[in-house]
Order: sequence, then C-alpha cells, then structure tokens
Amino acid sequence: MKKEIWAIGGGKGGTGKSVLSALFATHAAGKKRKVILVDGDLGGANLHTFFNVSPDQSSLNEFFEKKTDLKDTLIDTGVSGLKLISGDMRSFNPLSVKYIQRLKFYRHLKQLNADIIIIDLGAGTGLNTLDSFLLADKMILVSTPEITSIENLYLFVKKVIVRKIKDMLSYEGFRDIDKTILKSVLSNQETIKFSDFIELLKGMGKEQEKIVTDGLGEIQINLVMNQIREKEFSKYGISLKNILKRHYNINALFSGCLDYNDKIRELVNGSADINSVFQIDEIRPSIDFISGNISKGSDVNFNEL
Amino acid sequence: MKKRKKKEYLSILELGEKASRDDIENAYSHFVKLYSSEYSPEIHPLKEEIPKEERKKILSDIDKAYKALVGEDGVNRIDFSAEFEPQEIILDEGEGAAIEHVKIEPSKEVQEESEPVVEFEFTDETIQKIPVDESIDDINEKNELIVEIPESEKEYNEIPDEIEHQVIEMDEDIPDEDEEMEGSIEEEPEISEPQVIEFEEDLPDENVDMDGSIEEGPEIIVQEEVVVDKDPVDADVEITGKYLKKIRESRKLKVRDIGEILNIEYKSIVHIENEKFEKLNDPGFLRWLIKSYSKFLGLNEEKSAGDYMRRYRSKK
Ligand SMILES: Nc1ncnc2c1ncn2[C@@H]1O[C@H](COP(=O)(O)OP(=O)(O)OP(=O)(O)O)[C@@H](O)[C@H]1O
Ligand SMILES: [Mg+2]
Repeated sequence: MKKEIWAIGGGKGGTGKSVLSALFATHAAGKKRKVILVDGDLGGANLHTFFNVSPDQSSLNEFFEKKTDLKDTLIDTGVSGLKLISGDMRSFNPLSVKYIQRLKFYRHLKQLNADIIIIDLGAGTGLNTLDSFLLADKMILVSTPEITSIENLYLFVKKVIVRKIKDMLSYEGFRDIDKTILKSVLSNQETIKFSDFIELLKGMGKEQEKIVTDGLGEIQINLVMNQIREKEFSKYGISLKNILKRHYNINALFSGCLDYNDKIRELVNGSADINSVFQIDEIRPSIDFISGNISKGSDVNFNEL
Repeated sequence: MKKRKKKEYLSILELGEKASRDDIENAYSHFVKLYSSEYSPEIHPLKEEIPKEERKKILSDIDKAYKALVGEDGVNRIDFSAEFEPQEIILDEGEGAAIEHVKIEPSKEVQEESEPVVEFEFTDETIQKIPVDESIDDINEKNELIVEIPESEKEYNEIPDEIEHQVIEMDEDIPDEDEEMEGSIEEEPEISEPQVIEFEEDLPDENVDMDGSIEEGPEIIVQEEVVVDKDPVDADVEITGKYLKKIRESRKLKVRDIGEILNIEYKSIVHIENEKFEKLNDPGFLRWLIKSYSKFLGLNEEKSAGDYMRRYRSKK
C-alpha cells in the first residue's frame, strides 16, 4: 500500500484534533501498519501525554542542528508499530522556525519508512498549517457542533482555497490579484463575498478560469464531527458537507462522528492512556468506521446516520 | 426513472442508493429546515455569504429532487416564497398512511424582520460590484526592496555554512491596536509570512514546489537574521508590557507570527503588551502566557512572570 499522509486540522482549538489523530494512529497500528504520528503543533505539543511518554527534545534539536537523522527522533509509544515525533520547537530562532525548519522537517518526514503518517496540525490557520494541510493525501477537518467551531471550519476552508488557488495562479504567472481584495476576502468582515471573489478570479481570463476550477476540484475535505452529545447533532456533518460542496465548490466527504465520552477527558490529564481509550466499546467502532471511510474515500449519507 | 438520474437526485439530498422513502422524507425536511432560515447554526456563520436568494435557489434544487424521487403525489406543499411565515410541510407517507404535519417555526428574530417577501425566481445571480476600500494604503509596498536571487544561490551550492539559513522576509508593519482588536484584517498570505529559503546541499527535487513560491516572488526583502541574545535582561529592569513590546519590536517580530508559533491568540499578546488587565481575566493562564512569551523572546521567564504578575495584582 502506498505511503499516505493524513493531516488533521480545523482551525479552532480544543475540537479534538489531537485526540482523533492519536486514535487514528492507534487504529492504524492495530491493523499492522507502520505508523508515524507527528505532533505538528510544534509550539503546543501535547500528543506525548496521551501515550505517557516524554517529548524527545534533545534529538529533535540535534536533527535541526544536522547532527542526526529525523528517524532518530522517533519516540516509542508503547503501541507496537506506532512511533511519535514530538518536541518543542520554540527554542529555535523564532524568525526561521516557521518556515525553514518546518520545510526541512516535512521534507525529511516524507522519506521516513512508514505506511501512514498522521500529522496533528494544531489550531490556527497560519500559512504553514495551510500548506501542510494542502500537502496531505487526506485532508481532515474536525469540528464540534458548536457554532464557533463551525465558523472556524469555514474560515479554514476559505483560507485553504485562497492559498491553493493563489499559488496555482501565481505558478502560472498570474500574480496580479488585487491585494486589497485578497485582504478583504480573508478577513472576517468581508466586504467582498467569497463567491464573488472566485467569480472575479475566473473573470480574469479563460486560463485563469480553468486554473480556479481545477484548483477547487483538487481539494477534498474529510469532515469529522466530534464531541457529539445527541444524535441530532451528527446531522451537522451532512449539513456541513452539503454547504462546502454547494457554497465553496469543493469536494467534501462526511467521514463520521465521535460521541462525547468522559473517558477521553482523562487522556489529557494523563490518567488514561490512548490504548485503553481506544478499546472502549463506544469508541473503537466509531474510529474504525471513520478511519475506514477516510482510507476508502467513502462517506456517510443521510440514510446511514 | 433512469438509475443514473435517480442517483443524482439522491445525492442532492445527500442520500445513498439504499435510501428508503423515510430517509428521503427525513433528508428533505432536514435540508428545508437548514436552508430556510439564516439562523441554523450551520448557515449562520455564512449568512452574508449565502444570501436569501441563493438559499432559495438551493431550496428549489432540493425540492425538484424530492419531487422527482417521491413523485408528484408527495407534492411539495411548501410555499418557498413565504419563507418568513411559519411553514407547514405535509409529508405524505404513501397509500393509507396517516398524513404527518411537520411545522417549522422560524425563530423569533426572523419573524421580527419585516422584509418584503421575495418572489421565488430562478434567475442567475448577477455578480455584485465589489466594493474596494481605496483608502487602505498598501503598507507593504513602501517597505519592499527588490532583490534578485543570483543564479548561483538558486543552485544551493557554495553557500558557507553560517549563512545556510537565509531569511527572506517581506516586511510588514505590526497592525495597530484597533486593527488587532477587530482581528479583521488578515494580511495577504504571501506577505504576512516571513519567507525563508534554506540552502542545503542535499535538497531533493520533490521540494522545489514548496520553495518555488519564494523564487517566483517578484519582490522580496533580504533581511539579516536577528540574533537573539541569550538573556539580555538586567536584573533590575522591571519587566512590563511595554518592555516586552520593546524587545519584540527590536527583534522585528510580529504578534501574529508569535501567536501562531506559540499557538496562542495573538490578541492576548497585544493585551499583555498594552497591559489591558481587564481583558486578562485568568491569572493562572496569564502567568503561563507571560512565561511562554518571555521564554520565546529569550527573557528569563521566572523573572518576567514574577514582575508582570506583581503589576497585574497591584493594578487589578
Ligand atoms: N469525543 C470527546 N469526548 C469528550 N472529550 C473530548 C472528546 N474529544 C476531545 N475531547 C476533549 O477536548 C479537549 C480538547 O481535545 P484535543 O486536545 O484533542 O483538541 P485539539 O483540537 O487538539 O486542541 P488544540 O487545538 O488546542 O490542539 C480535551 O480535553 C479532550 O479530552
Ligand atoms: Mg491539539
């Protein structure tokens, strides 16, 4: 099977990106796949706590100082077949940490021996986050039913699209997108609607229109709804996928839901480890279902809720 | 109905091929509810982006699919033109089944709106004229310096080890406070990000695309890498918000970037620097913030937290 990169984002903090990343990784390891789980939240790394291990700061430092390979920074997790990369990158020169080090990091990451690499992108919509997201084979967004989380999801998607299309256009030599308009479309209080922005880009010419259409077509989002407390809320996944398709003209799949579960809270304070959480009867089948949908590119329809 | 056509209609209602009559009814009423009001949580954040006219178009799409699937007898008895009136959906359960009435109550806010009822039309939306604020100066323009990357550097050779990391940054002013508070003006991606090219001998080809955006950028600034002192703090300097700001600015760092790196709301940094204590309500969290931020700036975190929290407590 081809090596796959999964990137998990969603914009808002605390939706469950880390929990889901760790559960997907545990699930894949259980299927005898070689898994590398990456705490891409390189400022606020917390994945290691789910496995009761410490981040390997010194070897990550050594990697950036070119004294060691990235494979030497892999941390054993206690789950067989599952290795973790985690560490605090804040101690590096702040000006360069964002771009170079991440660039180098991802380049080497892709060369590691693994069947699946799962990157927990952390919160936010910074350029590095968007780029890592766009680089992934599976672009996964996590939302809860809360309106702020949904709002952040739209913002994330919007920024991903703008980033992608703008890159594609400028790659083809079309760089004359008005900066004021770009600023405006990315701000929260738009003076220009997203759909008008897209029309405007398409209106620049036949070639541009094709680039925009192709770019949108290349984005496929896998939606996961988390912290579902009532069945009714799982329908939000259907709504969101429909809205992403209709309004943003991208491909969207609803990969499934994870219910709210108190046991998951214990992960964060270290009183439960990921494997024991994964084994819970309400959790394992859901993760199996969601992971399966993501791998296969299939999705949940209304009649399957 | 042709199989392909049926699949198409089902997919409009987000239904799989095995959908039952009940599923169709459920999906239909879900979407009618979803797109009928701008107050559904999934629509609300986009209420400006997806205006009423567009929602009507979507509703008609959904309605067409529904009718096609259940046949004219399951007839849609919703009057979409009366969007802001309470709607009664009558779902026909088929022969002999009891007729079910589902009432969709629009939320209060909706009822209060005295908007005229818009006729249900199929016309294509004309693209709106885009309002552009001409008065916004492009701050970046002024500070930009054109730099050509010499061919030799593009080839990643002969670069001495010390300058292996060359920071190429588009300069950008730190947005003023009001702008920060609104959090509304997001810089255009390519400029907001310090862009760095790493010159490394073993650069594999596959990454050219990632680096590509840098080389193709028409205007870039080459800036010396800022050397961060280990701990420049005099023991007798009191660490205040102002001091943190001064250090940050001396290092040409932007709150936004720091926010991203530290994974914290950049607004908190603005509040910290301006000592807006009323916006910083959680002392425990604040202490953590000060420590992370000052550590990031290369300051002694314990001293910074101690000094700052003392001021915080005395002023609050
Ligand atoms: N399904 C769930 N049921 C109950 N609690 C959950 C669930 N998913 C996540 N949580 C809890 O929500 C909190 C946030 O989860 P997590 O750390 O995975 O979020 P995150 O999206 O990675 O956050 P950040 O953006 O800060 O990295 C944690 O306390 C976690 O235990
Ligand atoms: Mg996280």
